[in-house]
Amino acid sequence: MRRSTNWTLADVLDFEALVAADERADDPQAAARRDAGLWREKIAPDLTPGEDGERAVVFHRWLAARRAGEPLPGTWLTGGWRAFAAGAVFAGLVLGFAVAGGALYYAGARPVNVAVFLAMIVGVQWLFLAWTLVVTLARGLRSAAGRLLVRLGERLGQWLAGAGEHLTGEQRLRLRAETVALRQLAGRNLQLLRWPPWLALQGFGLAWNLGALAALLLRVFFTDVAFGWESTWAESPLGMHTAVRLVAMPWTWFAPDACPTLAQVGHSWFHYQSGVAALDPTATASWWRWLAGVILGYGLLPRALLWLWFWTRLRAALGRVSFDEPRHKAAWQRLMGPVIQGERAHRDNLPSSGTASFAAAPRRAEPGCVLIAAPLGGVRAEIERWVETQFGWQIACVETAEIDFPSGNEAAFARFAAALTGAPRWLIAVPAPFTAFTAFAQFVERLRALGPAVPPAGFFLVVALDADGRATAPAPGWAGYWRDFTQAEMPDCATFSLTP
Amino acid sequence: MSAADLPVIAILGDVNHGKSSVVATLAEDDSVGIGAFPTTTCCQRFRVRDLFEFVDTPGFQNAREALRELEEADTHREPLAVFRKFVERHRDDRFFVNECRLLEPVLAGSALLYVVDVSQPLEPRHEAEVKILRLTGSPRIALLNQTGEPRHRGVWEARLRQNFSTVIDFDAHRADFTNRLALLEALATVDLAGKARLRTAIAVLQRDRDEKLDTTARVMIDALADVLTLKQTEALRDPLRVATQRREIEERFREKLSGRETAAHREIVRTFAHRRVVVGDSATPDFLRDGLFVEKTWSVLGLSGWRLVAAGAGGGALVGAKIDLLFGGATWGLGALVGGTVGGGGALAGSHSPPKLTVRVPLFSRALVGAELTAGPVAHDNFPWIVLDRALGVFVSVSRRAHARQDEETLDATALAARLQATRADKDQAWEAVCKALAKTFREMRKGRFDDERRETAVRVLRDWLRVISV
Ligand SMILES: Nc1nc2c(ncn2[C@@H]2O[C@H](COP(=O)(O)OP(=O)(O)OP(=O)(O)O)[C@@H](O)[C@H]2O)c(=O)[nH]1
Ligand SMILES: [Mg+2]
Repeated sequence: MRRSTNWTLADVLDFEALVAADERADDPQAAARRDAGLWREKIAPDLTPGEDGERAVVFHRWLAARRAGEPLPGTWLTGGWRAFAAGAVFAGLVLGFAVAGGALYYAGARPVNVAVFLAMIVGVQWLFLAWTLVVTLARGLRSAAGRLLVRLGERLGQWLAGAGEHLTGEQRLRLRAETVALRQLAGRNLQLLRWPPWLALQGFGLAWNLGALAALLLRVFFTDVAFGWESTWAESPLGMHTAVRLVAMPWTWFAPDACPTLAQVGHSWFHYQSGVAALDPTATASWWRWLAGVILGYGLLPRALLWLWFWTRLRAALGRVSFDEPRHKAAWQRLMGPVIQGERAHRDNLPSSGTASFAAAPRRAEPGCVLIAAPLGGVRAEIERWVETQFGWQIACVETAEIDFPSGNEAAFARFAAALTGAPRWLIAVPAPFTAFTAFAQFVERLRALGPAVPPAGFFLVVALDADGRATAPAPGWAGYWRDFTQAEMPDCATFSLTP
Repeated sequence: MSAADLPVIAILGDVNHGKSSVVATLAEDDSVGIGAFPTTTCCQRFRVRDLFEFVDTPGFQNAREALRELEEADTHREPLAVFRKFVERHRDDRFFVNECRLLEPVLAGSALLYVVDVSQPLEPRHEAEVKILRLTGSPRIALLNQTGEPRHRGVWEARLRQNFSTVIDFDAHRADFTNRLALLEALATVDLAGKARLRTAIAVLQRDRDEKLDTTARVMIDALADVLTLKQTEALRDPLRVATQRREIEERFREKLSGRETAAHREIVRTFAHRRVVVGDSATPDFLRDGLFVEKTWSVLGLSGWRLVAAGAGGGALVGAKIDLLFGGATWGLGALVGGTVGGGGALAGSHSPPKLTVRVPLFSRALVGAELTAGPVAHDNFPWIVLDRALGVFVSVSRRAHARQDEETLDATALAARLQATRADKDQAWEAVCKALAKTFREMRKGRFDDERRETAVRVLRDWLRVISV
């Protein structure tokens, strides 16, 4: 279950700002270390068992840990919003009061026209509502409005940056970064940022209606106002009365007084010819309850409903806030570490496998002994021929040996040592590729342990086999690897590559 | 849970048979040391959350000699005690460095994963290795890897089946996500002690994989939304030299487009943690050779004409976009000149030729002071499909690429097309539905109607499709 209900707008914005800042950070390693530390010290200890996989919960803790004392854009942005909304409410009150107060001006010559009054107080609102509906439904207008919001945000940022000319370079840089972050936020959370302006607008509307209502009541209670209606077209007050009743339908069932009767409507029909004197004062006064009802029912109530609706939308959007975007996953990974965490590899010094360059073979007609690694047993003749032509040796003895099994060559070693007494030169033909190097090192040590018959200096010949099992030159990498290995193990020996 | 309690799986085998490659592929870590010569000299541990650990070990280098000393484990009451004594005896013996190191996790009671390369012959020292592993009595399975022609497969398999309860194929260079999970499943059935942990680990890895697909889908959708609405607007410098500036703007517009595209491709590669895969360098204008606007790209990628029509992406979209540009621009452009791009004809005729970008300056506003030239957005029907296909090509390349591979890979238009066609994804039945949904998405993007909810829908469609083509 997602527990993101405790995220406020400021939280979301701050969180996104921090994530965005981390995305742009010069040293991602440092951010990763910091987050891993926060996880260990501040977040993980407080989590209940089920919560450690909950991004909404974990990120909220992370935000709390990182916020400490730092003013973040979400905080000051929502602070700004609140001030703006309060300003809107105040402006609504003052304007509503002033406009209604003005519209209710009565000097005794002509009664306040209820139609004009309602048009100014309630009608205008409905016009705006209709216009808003058009904007919301027309796609082009809507996206334009969205872009406009982003643009406005940007401008605000630029203006702030401009206003901060006196700031130090560092502060200005920071401010610029914040502006960029804000812009990204607007791009990413447009859905969420859409509701606060609407809420402020409804706040203004609510206050406007309240102001107008206050003005009406004050006028009615403390001054003398006469309400009336005018029409050139109407022939009797019946039509007007029907309209008035219709409008008052929502409340007449519980407040029958809040609607003028047919007689009262008739007696408040104003004509210039007869003037105010012809009107009945109780009839002209009877309208005020109905007017208050209209403001309440057609101004205040819709506003309140709209405000509530936008507020629930904002709540719902906050509840839906998810943490699945790539940037969130990156932050998550910084906290949790990768799923598979590898140790840093430790490398010993290894022989290199560079291209080998070998000295030319010393050509001398001498007797010598040859050991051939078992896998090369099949190309024994070729190896012998190569040693004879390249080294000029007369081969005194050839033995195959298990070079990867140091202690498994007793009989071959005995024969080899015997032959070496008469032909004191040795060569070992080794295969490439080959992998059991420590076994081979032990093999050579065993060979030398045979006694004084084995001279310390000897030769190695690296031989490769092709796909058909014929002897060929080893790959340069393998030749080089063998040379480096033998040089490290037996510095007084020389290594050659077979050349077909 | 302390480190000591974690189930451990040791990856063992002869040098160069691909232990580290198997580990690299399993851990999706292309920094594991892999080489054609003896490479790994120390154990390297990989921890999967707090669930289990696998250990890459150095290869056996003196198995036959070691076996001589370990053979007594066969009749010993506590076989591992013989191994322990061996390690103590040879701790500083340079002839058994590797054996001592690789036996360490074995002594700690790990399960064993024996890796063999069936393209190399079975030699006596391998027989010794197999025997040593059998003597441990630990739960163990064998993996048949292949670094070349699997010429000796039969011999290997026969010998391994005698000594291992499970023998499975696992090509370190070709294994995909399902193969990796299958390997862990096999381990879970063999290593009964670590079974629950391994099952949890499988679920964790699956979730991680899903996250990656989700990230990729988001990156792709955002990139598409971006390039489909991208424009390049500049103030008209000199009314007499409109033609020159037009060309420049066009050039800059293309550069911007490919820059965005490359950034998305890099993001996808990064998501799958591949460092040996290179996507075009946006610093060089490679789009001329290999990018979005060359015939080659357009001839092999994107939807065919009839597909476009079937998906409802043809004709109407083109006309709609054009009208948007001509009239929308004029009404919203606040005195801007209208930038129009005209695609290569209708859906059927021109779906496979690159769009000709043209920056247009309507007569009536030519004289306006401070007028602007605008290039883009690209209105060609097939444009989003080309961009999508290229991104899918990158995805297919990296999501199926094993981390053991050492070759550098450069993803160019041809490689992407080949990769994509190899999946035969467009023959999949689901593709048609995906096409329809995405065609709608592209229309929404172009018309500026693409909001968060629609984005989520599009991401879901694409993510599901990625899952289909990723294995
Ligand atoms: N073509 C191919 N080559 C592979 C495969 N697995 C391993 N290789 C190659 O085989 C060589 C050895 O691979 P490594 O993974 O380093 O082998 P290792 O067993 O870890 O070797 P050491 O660490 O030296 O014990 C490398 O050149 C790899 O690129 C495979 O599945 N296919
Ligand atoms: Mg290795």
